[in-house]
Amino acid sequence: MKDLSRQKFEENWKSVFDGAEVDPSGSVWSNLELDLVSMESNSMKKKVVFYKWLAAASVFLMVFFAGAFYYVMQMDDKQSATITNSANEGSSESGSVPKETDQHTSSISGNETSSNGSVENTKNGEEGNQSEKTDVTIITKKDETNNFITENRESAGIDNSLLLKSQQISFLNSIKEVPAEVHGKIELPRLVLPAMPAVFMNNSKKNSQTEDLWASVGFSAGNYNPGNVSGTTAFRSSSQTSGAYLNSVGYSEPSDVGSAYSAGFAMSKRVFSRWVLQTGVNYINQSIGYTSNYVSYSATNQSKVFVAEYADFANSSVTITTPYQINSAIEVISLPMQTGYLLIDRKFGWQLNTGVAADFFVRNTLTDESGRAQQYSQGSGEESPYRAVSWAGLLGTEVSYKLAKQYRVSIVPGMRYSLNSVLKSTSGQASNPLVVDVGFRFRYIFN
Amino acid sequence: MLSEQELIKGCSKEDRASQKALYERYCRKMMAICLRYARSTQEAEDILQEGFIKIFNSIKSFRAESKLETWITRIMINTSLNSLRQKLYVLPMVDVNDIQIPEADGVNLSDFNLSELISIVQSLPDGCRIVFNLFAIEGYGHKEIAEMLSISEGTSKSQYNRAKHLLRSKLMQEEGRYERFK
Repeated sequence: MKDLSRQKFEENWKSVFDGAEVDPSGSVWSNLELDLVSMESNSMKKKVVFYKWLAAASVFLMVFFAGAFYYVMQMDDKQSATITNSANEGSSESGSVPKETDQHTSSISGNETSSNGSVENTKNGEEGNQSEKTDVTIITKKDETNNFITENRESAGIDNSLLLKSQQISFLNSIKEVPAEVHGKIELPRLVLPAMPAVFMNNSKKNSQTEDLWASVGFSAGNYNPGNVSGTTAFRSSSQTSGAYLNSVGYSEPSDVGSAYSAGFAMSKRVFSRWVLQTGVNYINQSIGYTSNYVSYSATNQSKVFVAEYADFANSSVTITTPYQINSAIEVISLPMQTGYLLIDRKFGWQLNTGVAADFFVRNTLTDESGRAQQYSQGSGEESPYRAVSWAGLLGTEVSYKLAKQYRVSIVPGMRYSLNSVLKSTSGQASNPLVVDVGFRFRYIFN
Repeated sequence: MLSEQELIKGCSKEDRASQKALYERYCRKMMAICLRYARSTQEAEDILQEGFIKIFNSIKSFRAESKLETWITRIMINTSLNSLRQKLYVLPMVDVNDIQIPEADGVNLSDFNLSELISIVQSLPDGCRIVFNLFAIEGYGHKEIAEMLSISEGTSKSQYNRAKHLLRSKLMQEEGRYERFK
């Protein structure tokens, strides 16, 4: 009876609240909506912050690796230069035993005239023939902490091949001469690794070092943006030949993006260990579509395509017609002068290039895509709205791969931006074209 | 009127219109639930708002294994419990002495309207109110309630008995008042 009563109690309450509904105040949704908006903006902020950090981390990593790579390469170059210089400074005099030998020294003295070398191992206290000239020897010795260290000493009278042998021998000796008790110590890895002779390290670079002068041919293609300051040019027709469009406003409007291709030849010369100067000659063709409602009439009363750039230079009568599509192709001969920095100078190469180019305007050809109006072509000169010479800034990179001893192929992404307007100021317009392209080059290396 | 599936799809895409439609469809039922757990209307509205935020944030994970309303109700109850958990931590539920509950109380709930009954439930102490709601209305067993609230089963039972005693007393009190005004 008691349980039944309790069950009834719960059932009563449950039935009261089952499906019960109470209206919340209107402020609940308003506050809820504010929370949702705030959360969305926070989420966006987090995304933005994430991408900012990602970008920063990428830049940091790139700089770090470039720096580390540069440092390693510089060290290689220094060691290489020391060895090469000392070898070249050799005289016909006999080599001598180094003055300084501590506890364990192994060295080699070479006689350049006879090309013979003799290996000598000197112990502490031993001294050989002393010469006034200093020697280059790779000396492996113990320092105070029982570590074996390798030193380069200046030398005269030593053959490069002997030096290589001496380094190999001293390298091997240094390994042999590690005292047995050292191996038992905890610092084992630190003790038993003598410095790698520079000659070994330079072997891998030897091929690329010979690339001092090279010629390349290539082509590239990409996007062309005319960069018109005044995208649309309009003027009122002065012609009386077309009654229908008389007093209409004429215009010619280029598309946002066109296409560009170039082909050329370049010569490059290494001026420092990693710096390269390059120049050459390129033919560049930049084309873009126009929508125009101008036509010009020649003396023979034939209609020719026309765009606003020529408005102030037109001798023939110009009139307005129905809008039609034009392809405008600008041809330029460009003489670039670039400096390059070799970030990676091995079988796989990576070079950064920057410089300027003098662009010599050749001609601008306007073609009516429908074929109704005659093609119009204008070279440089007083009647041309284009400057005869303009300047462009160049920025790019070149990723290359050495195919054989004298050949490399490379992919060259880059951009060129006209530093001054390619149009004359009298044209009433300004145009600083931007070209972003990717090129392919084939390089021949002169030895 | 959007179907349940369309609502879920729209809310998953964070479409504001769908979110509002979902809110409007369930806010009244959920408000009634929140009022039972909260001590005041303001507190109930806070819980309702927080609960819907959780619903919108996790609706992508709704797998339609249960009815949408059941899923929303569960989230709302959990949100209510979480909001009260801090109070329970400060004033933990303890066993209360067995209370002699009158067997025949003679009180009829139909004599009261919904808001009066909600007010009576809201007047219960926090621990009693939660256990009463979970046991009597939601239908959980004392073992489940004990696990949910990290209390012993005995505490849950004693809190429930106390809630019943207090409710009957309050109902009788209210009814007496009502009788006097008749």
